[in-house]
Formats: sequence, structure tokens, C-alpha cells
Amino acid sequence: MKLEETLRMRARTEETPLPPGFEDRLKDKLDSLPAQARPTRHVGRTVLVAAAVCALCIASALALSPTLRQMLEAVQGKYTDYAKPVEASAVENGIEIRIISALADHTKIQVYAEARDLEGDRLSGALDVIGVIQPETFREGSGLSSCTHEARCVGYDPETGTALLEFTTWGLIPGEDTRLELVVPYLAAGSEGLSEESWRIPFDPERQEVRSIALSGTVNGLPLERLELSPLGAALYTRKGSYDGDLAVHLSDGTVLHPEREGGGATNGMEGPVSRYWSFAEPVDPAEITGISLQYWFIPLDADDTAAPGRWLSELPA
Amino acid sequence: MKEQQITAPERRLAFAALVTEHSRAMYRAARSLLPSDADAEDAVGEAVLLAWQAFPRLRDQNAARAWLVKITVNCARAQHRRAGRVTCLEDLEEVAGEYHDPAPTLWDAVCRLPEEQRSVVTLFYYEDWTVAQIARQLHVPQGTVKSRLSRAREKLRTMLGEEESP
Repeated sequence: MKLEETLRMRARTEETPLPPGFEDRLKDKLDSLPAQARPTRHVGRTVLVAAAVCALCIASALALSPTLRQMLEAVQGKYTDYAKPVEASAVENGIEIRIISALADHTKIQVYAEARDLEGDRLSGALDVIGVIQPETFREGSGLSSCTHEARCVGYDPETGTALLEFTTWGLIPGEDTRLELVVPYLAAGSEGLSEESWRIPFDPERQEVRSIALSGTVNGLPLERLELSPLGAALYTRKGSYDGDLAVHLSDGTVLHPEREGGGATNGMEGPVSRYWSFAEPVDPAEITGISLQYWFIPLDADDTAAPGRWLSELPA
Repeated sequence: MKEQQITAPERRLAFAALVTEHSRAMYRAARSLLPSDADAEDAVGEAVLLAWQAFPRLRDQNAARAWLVKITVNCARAQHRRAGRVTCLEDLEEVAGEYHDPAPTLWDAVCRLPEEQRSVVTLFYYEDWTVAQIARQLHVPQGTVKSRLSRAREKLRTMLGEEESP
């Protein structure tokens, strides 16, 4: 008999010995399996796959790989300490998406999630992803008309085959008691989608405190409603349309910041309130903000969170 | 015909039965990648929990063994990486010394193989995976799988005292 045939025959017929007690310990594990994760809207928070594995491989199952952790800290930058840990996950078609942290104020929500293939090696560094953050249950009459969403793959660790995903939503403006849900309807490596079903992950982000200031008057014909300031950025609420110009932020030490304009949203259509968001490059103490300028129109902000009468600037702030 | 609803207890029993049936294959796959029984058992335990969460999507029960082994291989590889062990490179000197005592079983002989040969032999002969499947699962080129199998066969021939039939 040829060696090849011999090896196959012996592999089929010879029993592999198991370590002493293996079968008993395995039975114990099978008898104590946790509840299966059910990522639906009608069930409470998703049971963690990682938390179940934690029983055997404690810290390593929950922790990001060093590579992904470095990538996360790189994208969060000086907001790393502001990000709040989140543990919520869902599995579709053998791919787990696990939310690990969130940065949020009242207008912008940004979550970071780890994607992991539980059954194979289908992920790569060239992932296409679409995802939205929305109220877990839309209520009739909530008036939510539009938000801005962005999703991207920010990193991939080839050693562990895991990817770091970033999801951002602006303009959601949910109520305080609204539970949120990350919905990922599309994740693809190359041209092939990795699941026909969407990943749905309920979660509760911890929101930064905001300094809210009522505004009056108009700019570019748009009635101003209010300004909300957090360490993450500034949100301007208007009616009848969105202010799409530049916004500068004036600090008590004379510094003028020019935050990057990002997305926004609308409630009840363009009648408003309509929001537009500008993100700070690094954390800003809202209490140190003494005014904003919308191009040449400067609005002083008082310490009691009221706006003083605006005035025209002779030149744009540097 | 309306699909029968499976209760949670029934699902647990079905899963437990599948794992029990294929536990030896799972252990073997893990042990072929890890240096000790304890490490292999940890990897099997992790694989059981992961497979349990993914179990509702397993449509073809006939594919359960390959599915469980695949998850176990992933867990074993991840555990191997976390331990920071160095993967043997193709150009390293092979383990010195000959085994003079014929191994009583094939598995004994497989366990004496160098690490990178153990896993390909286990998946090829015990699990009947193709070279392509093994290459994809272990993240190595197919040529590497073939060369590892070739060297492993020569070592197994010696350890098992097998001679080619004329």
C-alpha cells in the first residue's frame, strides 16, 4: 500500500486520544452555554459574544489587538480620553461587529467598532462599509427628516484579521430617553457583500455636556435658533435652511479657531430646526468660548449662556 | 410545509450533540497548532462559545464538522499569536535528531512533527481538506502547504516504519 493511502487509512481508523478529563470539561462548558445573542429591536441589549468567551480567555477576548488599539488612538487623537467605552455587538453570516467606544454630544455621534470574521478570513484592509446611527425605534411624529452619516474602515490588522470601523452621524437630535442603534446594512471586501442581513446593534452612548445658547436674528436670510457647544465641536441650529458658511470660534485667550464643517440634520423638514456641525481638532472647554463669527457677523457669548447683540467685523478673523 | 420551530433547549441539545460528535476533530485541529494539551483545550473552549453564538446560521448540518474545525483553527491561531510565539519559517533548519522508536499511532507521529507540518498534515489527512482550503485557512501559499506536506510525509514514513510497496 502506498504511503498516501496508508496515512489516509490510519487517519480514518486510528482514534486520537483526548487528554484526561477533556470530555467531562467539555460537557461542563456545553451545560453552561450563555444565552445566544439576539440583535433585534424588541430585546434588550445584545448579549456579548466577547463576554461569553471572556469566561475562558478573559482580557484577551475583550481587548483590541495592539495594532488596532494604536489605530484607534491615532484616529481619536486627543479625544481618546473623551471616548467612552461601549460593549455591544452583533453577528451576521459569521462576522461580528463589536462597538468598542463612542464619542458623542447632542448633535454628533461617532462610534468605533471592531469587525472580526468568526469563521474564516473574509475581511481585508479594503473594506467598504455603510452604516447609520438611528433611534432604535422610530416614533410617529418624531419629525426626524434627515441626518448625515459617514462610515469607513480606518484600519486593518492582518495578524488577527480584524478591522477597525468608524461610524459618524450628525443631526440626529434624539430625545434624552431615545435608545440608539448602529445599523450596518453593507460590509464588503471587494465587490462581494459579506452579509445579506444588516448588523443591528443597540447601544447607549454617553454624551458630552453641551453649553446651549439661544440665538436671535438671521444670517444669510436664515433665522438663527440656538448654538450648542461641547468639547467635540459646535452645532448651529437654524430654520428654513442650513447655514453652510464658515464658523469661527473665539476663545477667552484671544485664540480664534476655525473648526472643520461637517454634516448636519433636520427635523420637520427645512422648517427646522436644521443643524450644521463644526468639529474641533482637539478638545475645547465650552466655558472658554466667548463668541462665534459667521463669516463677518460676530456674536458675543456671555458667561450666563446668553448671546449679546451681534456686530459686523471689519475683516474676517484670522 | 411549515418549518418546525426549534426551541432554545432543543437548540442547545442539538449544538451540544454536534460538538460532542466532533470534539475529537476540534481538539486535533487545535493541538496541531498549539504546543500543549492545555492550550489546545483552551482554544476548543473558545471555539465552542463562538460557534454557539453563530449556530443559528448553520444551515447544513452535514457541514458542521468542517465549520467547527474552521472556527477552532481560527481560535488556535489567534491564541498562538497572543502568546507571541514565533512561526517557524521555511528556511529554518529542521528539528535535528531522528526518532528511532517507531511511533505506535499515526497521531503520536504527527505530534512529533515540527509545528508547521503538524497542522497541514492534520487538516489534509484527518479532515480531508484540499491544499487550497488549507492554504486559505492558514494564510500561507498553496506551494507552502505542498512543501510542508511533502516533508511531513518523509518524516512520517520514517517514524511509522512505512516502506513504499514495490
